[in-house]
Amino acid sequence: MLSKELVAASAEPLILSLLSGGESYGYAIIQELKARSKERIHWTDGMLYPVLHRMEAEGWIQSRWVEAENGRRRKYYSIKKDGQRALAQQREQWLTVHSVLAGLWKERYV
Amino acid sequence: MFDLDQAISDWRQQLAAGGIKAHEVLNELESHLCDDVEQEVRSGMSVEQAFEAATQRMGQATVLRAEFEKADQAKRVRVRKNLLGVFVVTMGVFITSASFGYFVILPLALRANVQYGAWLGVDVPQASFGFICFICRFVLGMGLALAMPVGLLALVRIGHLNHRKLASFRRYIIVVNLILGAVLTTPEVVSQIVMFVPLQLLCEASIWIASRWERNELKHA
Repeated sequence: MLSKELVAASAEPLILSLLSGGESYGYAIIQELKARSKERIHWTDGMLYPVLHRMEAEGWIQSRWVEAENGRRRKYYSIKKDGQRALAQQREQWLTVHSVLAGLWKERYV
Repeated sequence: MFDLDQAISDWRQQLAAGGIKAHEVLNELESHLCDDVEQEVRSGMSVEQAFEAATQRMGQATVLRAEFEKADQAKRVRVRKNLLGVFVVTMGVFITSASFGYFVILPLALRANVQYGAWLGVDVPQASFGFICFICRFVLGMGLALAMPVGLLALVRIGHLNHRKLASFRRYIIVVNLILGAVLTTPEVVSQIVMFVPLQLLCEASIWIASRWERNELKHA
């Protein structure tokens, strides 16, 4: 299981990366993250929404209410151009951290 | 018999009591909860168990409220940035268009008026043009000068100024108001002072109103 701090720090790039594949809603985002991380990334479900709202306020994503076939309304989020730019920046930062750690661990453990 | 609709309604009320009051947020959380309950029931849980598990996963109202407040803070910062931009652009456009009108259009119109008068054989007194220019300058200047306190208060409202900063600008405000008094009125001391006093009073009123707003905000915080 990932630490809370790492989960919090990775929330934005994870959500942006998921939304860059197409619009989605809160429950589906959490389910997809759980599945992709094999349940190692654990979010308190409700905590996703303040992050989504903050990202919407930043102008990275936008939302719209959609009525499903069963009559239930869901709020769908999609990524905006500013979000794509933010994702590109964050991707670069995470890849930098990854490459530095990978290099260090290669020297140490191989 | 467990009533899911009633349980959801009670849960919404608990969230509202915990400080999450926005309907849109509550609707979104409810939509998530319903999806979660439906999924758990499909995988074999009873509706009551599924509801309990889903509400636990959703988290406590007080913790969620704190996180939503952070998101609201981000929204406010963005709105402030946008408002400042609108304010600066509006002022820029107003000053540019007023200057264009005064320095370019007005002299052209007055000259055309003289020529038109000459065509018709009517004598248009040149001295009256100076008077018209003075009136225009006076009206525009008064408008701008009296709008300045409103502008200052708008900047306080959107968070770019506070009453301490305004008070620290007082000496510059006095100089600006004296200059305005000199430029906008006839060239003698009495009218300059008559103009300066209300301008300065308005600025002092802005500083006082700003300090009242801040005190009220502190009380409500």
